Amino acid sequence: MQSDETILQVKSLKKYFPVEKGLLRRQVGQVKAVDDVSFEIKRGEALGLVGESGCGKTTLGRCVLRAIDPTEGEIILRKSDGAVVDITALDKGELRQLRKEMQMVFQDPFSSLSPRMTVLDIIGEPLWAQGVRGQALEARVRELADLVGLNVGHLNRYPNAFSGGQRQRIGIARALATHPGLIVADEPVSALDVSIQAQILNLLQDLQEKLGLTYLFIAHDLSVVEHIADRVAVMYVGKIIELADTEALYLNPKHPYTEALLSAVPKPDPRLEEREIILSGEVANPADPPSGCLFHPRCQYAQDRCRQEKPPLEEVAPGHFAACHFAEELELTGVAM
Amino acid sequence: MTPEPKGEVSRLDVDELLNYEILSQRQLIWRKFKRHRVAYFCLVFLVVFYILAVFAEFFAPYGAFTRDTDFLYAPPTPIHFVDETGAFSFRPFVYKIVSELDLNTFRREYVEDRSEKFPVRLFIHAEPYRLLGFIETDIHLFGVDEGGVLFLSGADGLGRDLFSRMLLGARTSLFVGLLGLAIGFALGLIFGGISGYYGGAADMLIQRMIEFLQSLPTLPLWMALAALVPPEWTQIQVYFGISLVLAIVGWTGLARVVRGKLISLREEDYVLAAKLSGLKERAIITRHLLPGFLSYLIVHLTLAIPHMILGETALSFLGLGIQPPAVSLGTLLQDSQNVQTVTINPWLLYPGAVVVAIVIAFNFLGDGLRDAADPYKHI
Amino acid sequence: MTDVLLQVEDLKTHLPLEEGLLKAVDGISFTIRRGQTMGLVGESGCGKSMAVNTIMRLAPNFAQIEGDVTYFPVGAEPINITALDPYGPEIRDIRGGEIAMIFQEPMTSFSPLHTIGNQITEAIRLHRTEDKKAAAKIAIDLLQRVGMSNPKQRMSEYPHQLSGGMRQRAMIAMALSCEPSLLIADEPTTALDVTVQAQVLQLMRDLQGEFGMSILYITHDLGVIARMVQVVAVMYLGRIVEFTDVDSLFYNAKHPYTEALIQSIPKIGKKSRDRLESIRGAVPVPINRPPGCGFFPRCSAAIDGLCNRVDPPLVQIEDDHAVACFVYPEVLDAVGESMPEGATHAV
Repeated sequence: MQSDETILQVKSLKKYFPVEKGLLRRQVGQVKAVDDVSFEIKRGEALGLVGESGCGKTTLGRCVLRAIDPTEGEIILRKSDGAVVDITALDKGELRQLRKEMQMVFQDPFSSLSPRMTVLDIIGEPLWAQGVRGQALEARVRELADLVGLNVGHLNRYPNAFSGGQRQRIGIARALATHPGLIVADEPVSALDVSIQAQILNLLQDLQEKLGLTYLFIAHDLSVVEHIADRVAVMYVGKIIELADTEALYLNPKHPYTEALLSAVPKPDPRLEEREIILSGEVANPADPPSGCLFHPRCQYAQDRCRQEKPPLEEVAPGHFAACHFAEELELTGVAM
Repeated sequence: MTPEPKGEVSRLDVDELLNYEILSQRQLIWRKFKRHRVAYFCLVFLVVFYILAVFAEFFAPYGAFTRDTDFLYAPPTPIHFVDETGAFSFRPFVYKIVSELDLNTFRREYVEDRSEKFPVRLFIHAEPYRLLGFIETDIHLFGVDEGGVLFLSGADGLGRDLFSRMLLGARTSLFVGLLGLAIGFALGLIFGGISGYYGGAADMLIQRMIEFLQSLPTLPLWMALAALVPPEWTQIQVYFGISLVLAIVGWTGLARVVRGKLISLREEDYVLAAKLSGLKERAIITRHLLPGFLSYLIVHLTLAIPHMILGETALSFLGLGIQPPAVSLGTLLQDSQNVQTVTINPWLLYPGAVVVAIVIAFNFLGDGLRDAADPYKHI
Repeated sequence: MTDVLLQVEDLKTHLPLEEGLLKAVDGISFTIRRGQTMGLVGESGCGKSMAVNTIMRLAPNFAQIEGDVTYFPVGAEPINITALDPYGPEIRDIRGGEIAMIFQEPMTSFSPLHTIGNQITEAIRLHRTEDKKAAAKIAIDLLQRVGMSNPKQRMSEYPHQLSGGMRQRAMIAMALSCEPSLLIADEPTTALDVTVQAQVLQLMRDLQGEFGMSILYITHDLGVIARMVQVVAVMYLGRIVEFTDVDSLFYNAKHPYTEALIQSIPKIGKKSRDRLESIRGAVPVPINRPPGCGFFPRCSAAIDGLCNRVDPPLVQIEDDHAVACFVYPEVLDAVGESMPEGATHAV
């Protein structure tokens, strides 16, 4: 890793799912869900990962935690003691040991909590897995419940007694139980009601400040991501096509897809009369991707070169990466700040 | 994709409002189950029935093999509360039954001799037996004194009390079902578990095997397997043999349920969360997967028992299962194979009614449990 | 008023459940004019979907329904929809013919067993023309108009062969097939990706201009509301708490709930990483609801002893701007109450 500041470095990560057919499950192709993705996150930073459904953002998040095994690539994590490990090279036992360093917050506050366990058991599960029992476990769970704003008196209840927002707090408390440095939050607010989303976003921000957490924040909602992320990576069909500081990316996107995404977000302001870019067509099929730049069939600026040549992710401005042949020539519109 | 926040009004919210919060999943299921009146009634019925079957010798006025040749094909004995003088007695009684030969039809007719009354007595000392196989006693719940007879549902062609035989036969049938189920459960759990948990080639092999077994017609398969039971086996061996036959045919459905449930549970976020928490595989299975499909298993098992009972009954009826002199509901029904006998002595079909009642009760019970166990059922 | 298309008066949908009475819709009134686009906005459980289901007579049959829904067809007598037999031919004529609906998940409104073309022509033949060929022609034309490429080929495809966006387009085509006067769109783009959502919203705006029908949008997304509608009704716990034009909603919200809701949504392009204003608590369950304003437990302007005792009615306090909150003296006057000693007006 380049600097001590980096907590996570992902190098050329690939995850291909085989496409099988027939009685004998013959492999007839593969879906490149994540295709050669590299990025790094600094300690205490929140990296937003945005994209439409099927772009591979969830798969990427799960690979980083090795909830699923990547096909290729390296995932290097700096542990809290400063040691550096490649997660992809660990065996089962070593991986279990490492679990306390990185945790996940789920999208669905209903399916992510076992209906058969009390809140105490749910929040305490990562501790239990580390061998913490009895008083010590309960004390830590109380502390966590307090931290995320749950009523400590309700720990013996079952999740079905809680509303969506409270359940998401339970999920967050569980993720924080073992003092992890890295949290992968996969759409943590998208299943919540509008008035609850803000509560949870604020909570995540407060916790980050208080505990110095690092977030990989996966979401489809650009306004939510803008709110919480320091830097944002935009994914399209398994690849990162733009990566930059949040402000730079929103104000001054360098990839036509980012521009279209920003423009497509319905803005809660009826006085805003802006030129809207309506993309034609739909997201490319990752099992049968187009040639050249994956975005070219929908891109209004596409030229011949785009149809033939895959654009690499290149630094077009300091800290601003984009995968577009014309990133430096195009004048793209962001959102007005 | 933005999933619209969960449903308009979920069950969960409703439960929350009603201060259900301290109830566990199990308590919730039980509460919902109790609201299902029919299923609850069936549960009570079955519990009573199993108690009757377990203590059959006590509840039966006669032994299963006690013959009274004076009463071949005797119809159910009428029970009276009011005697011919019009006097009412709380204690029910029967009249002496005498048989007469009808000279027109040359059939035996049984008539009441109203001169002699036999009160039905509770806790009467009669034939000795061993309760549960080891407590020697001769107390029966009810009966009449020597000289009178009490055939609640008539007698068979050998003059044996059908009611007593039904209780004893039900014991065989009910427990063959359970035993077969236990074996089938083990098979289903093992094969379904391997299939669902490991997937891959093992899954494919097991699934094809299940498909093959399920494609075989059940009855011939039973018959073929039952024919393999050696004739020199003792009653108890035959009993186990038949259970095994039923289990071998019956486990496939359960294996499918287990596999399906395992696969869907493995995809649940909370199982992934447990994995990410660093829990060992074994802990994930015992803490999350097993409890996760336990309720479904119970439901499935409840619905599988009647199949087992019907299977035993069918085999025994055909003479391939439990063999006389052992009693089961199926062997009892063998007596009703002759249409003519049945027309004259319709009570021989009563064991069939018992089978129907048991099967229906299990089905309703299973339905009730299924409705109650579904935690995501909405209003 | 000749330009009124649909008038809803004091509509109530109460569901008697084992757990108690669920007042899913509890006395809402509004009118939709011809050619008007209206939004019904609220969070999950606020009763917005139940309200339109009741209007369409699709509420569960054990529901207790009160109030009137009157539909004004062109050149015919007004029809009281609530008085119709929910399974009768009259309501079926209105559904699909006069009022069409599109849903969040188009898969549920198409039969998986028939081709898209089959289903659209079926609808056309039911309401417009018997002639098979003419109906097919109209269907192809419609598919073209909703922006489906190669409409002839699409006609013979099954719903599962289409992508989410295409299915939604097909459903819009089917809804428009009978030239309805009112289109009810229940979360029409919620299941779609942003870029596809933008396409569909654009399409609906174009079609509204072209066909001139009224549209009632049901959504929780204020971004969609801001772009698509002229007037908005904000629902909370089965009641309309504010009714106004879209500009006032975002720039001059009167009800504390509306205000808080607008404050709480993250807005793109605004200063990032500021704390959001959040509404405390969660939406309560509308079962056996206590009297008073439903927002009382979460409201920052709540007045104890008043708001938790008396239901605030929806009262017009400015031109085309009605609100149900006792912060406004007009609302207090409407129920003959006065502000308790020491309470403040500040919102």
